[in-house]
Amino acid sequence: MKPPSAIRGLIRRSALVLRAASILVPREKRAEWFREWYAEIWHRIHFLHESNRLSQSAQMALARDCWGSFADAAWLRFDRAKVMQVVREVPCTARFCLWSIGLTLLAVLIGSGFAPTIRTALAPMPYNQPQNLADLSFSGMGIYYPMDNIFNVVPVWEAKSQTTESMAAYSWTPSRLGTPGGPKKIVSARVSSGFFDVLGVKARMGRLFRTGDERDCPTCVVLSNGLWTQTFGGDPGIVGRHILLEDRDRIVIGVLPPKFRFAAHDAAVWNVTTPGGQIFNFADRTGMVLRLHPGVPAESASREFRVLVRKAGSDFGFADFSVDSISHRMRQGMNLFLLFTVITFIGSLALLSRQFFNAGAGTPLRFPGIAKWWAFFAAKTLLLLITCFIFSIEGVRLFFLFSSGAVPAMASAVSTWIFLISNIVALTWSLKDQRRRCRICMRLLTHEAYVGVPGYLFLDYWGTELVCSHGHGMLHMPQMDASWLEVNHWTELDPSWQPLFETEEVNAI
Amino acid sequence: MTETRKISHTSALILQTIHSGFMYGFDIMEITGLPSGTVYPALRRLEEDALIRGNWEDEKVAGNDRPRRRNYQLSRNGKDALGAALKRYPLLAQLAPEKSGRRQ
Repeated sequence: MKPPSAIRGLIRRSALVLRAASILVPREKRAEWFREWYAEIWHRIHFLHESNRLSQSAQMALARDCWGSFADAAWLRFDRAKVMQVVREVPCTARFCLWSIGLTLLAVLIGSGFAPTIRTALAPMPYNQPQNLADLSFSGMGIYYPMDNIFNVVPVWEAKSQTTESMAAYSWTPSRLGTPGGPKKIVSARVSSGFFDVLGVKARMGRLFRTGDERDCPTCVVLSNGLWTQTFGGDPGIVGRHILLEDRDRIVIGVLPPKFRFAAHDAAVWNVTTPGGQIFNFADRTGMVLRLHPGVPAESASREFRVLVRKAGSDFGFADFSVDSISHRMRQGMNLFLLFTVITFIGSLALLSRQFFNAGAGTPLRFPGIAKWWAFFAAKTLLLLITCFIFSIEGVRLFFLFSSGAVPAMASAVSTWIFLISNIVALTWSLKDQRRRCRICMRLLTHEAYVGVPGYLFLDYWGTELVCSHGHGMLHMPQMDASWLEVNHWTELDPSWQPLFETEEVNAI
Repeated sequence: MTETRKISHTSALILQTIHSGFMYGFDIMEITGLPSGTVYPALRRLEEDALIRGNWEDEKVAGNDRPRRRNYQLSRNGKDALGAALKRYPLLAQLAPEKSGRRQ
């Protein structure tokens, strides 16, 4: 009998889902399996239609039932006992825990492009004699001033300076670049013509800026190696090519070397400053690079500039400035982050050891068990802290790059907060996870049960008891960790308890 | 071997439902409220352990008008297992009431 037209489509769609699920069923059982499911669905749809109950919600329920066929088909394909064992047992093991954290770390690494900020910060500086280089930067949220002031101050200060050999100014801003694939958000930097000479950098291709380019070559630009390879496909004829930056025609004169980087936040296009005009920029997006006389500390240059600024008046608004060695600026406090990670790691070991050297901690662990216990905790915590370290730096950088096209100065403060918070969360979790593991096999303890009765003060039970599913032992945890009356108490179970743990529900039908 | 194996609450509920006269997969789902992804795999396991028997409907009964359905009945082992499960889960009988007009 042909089904009525009203339900013909529904039956056809259901049959399609069943056909897809049947692919999972072993070939020899497939035809019979499909016949059974199809007959049930067919009857169900007819019944609902004839009893006038084929509503929208009934169709949704029917769809859920059809999708359930995938579970049935999967169980025919896979060995249930093995799968159940994997699902119940594996997530509790120490190996699974380490693999999960390891894979998360790998995902963070790959997602961030193998931590370029950290790699860059820890790599040797790509400049000539970097120990003599310093960076003068401004701070002050939202201070907007004519950035020509900083370019104008360079020749004045250079002429009088006792502390520096040479200097150059820079100013960076998010920009729009015309590319073969359409407009692209990038960061562009405007620099004094002597900028690359101060740093002592040579071009990978073509040339970099030289004195006089302000007048002779005002539309000249230099590309970063990343932009050249990724956006222009490493075109060997890039020098002399015209590009559009902020809808203005520019001519490429050179490409920077691959290892070149600067504190100006991933600048992809560098152009030379031109005299005249009033271009405003935020104070924290501008600065100067200084080549100090050998042995002169950055503080001396800072004092010299302070005197100059005092005389100049409010050229830089109310922005404050600081002069730091370029390696310090490029590392952006990375050393502090690393130091904090190490302190957190050592602190976590101390926190955990407090519990195990306590007389009330229960059955003491024997040597191989202790080594395994501490090795697992150390590996887990270290992996977590490294993940937090990379995520807080690279994640914040990527977030700002994708959302606004540039990394603002506040990014380092955001990174610090995320780093601190994620470290606290990771450490708390790691300690809690460790306390809830079997002291023998490192599996997570299960069968959580409250013991005692709700108390008067906190309306909660006295404690929780957990047991190892393999029967190695039992853990009693007081409800209030802060209480000095009780600590976590581990009781190792002897082999006479084993029969109790052999008939697990895994064997149940 | 089935004597030594425990029956989960879900399996016991399905056995009780079949015992009550609901023989088809979708009927069992409706009575127990369990989803198809639970009921059918449980039926397969119960059949594999010889606690239930699956049979195709007689061709003469179904005729050419509709596809034949597969029904399930308790085996002798299944009845024993259900008896044991009812001792373990005494409220089970109330969860799956007997189908009206079922032949004893």
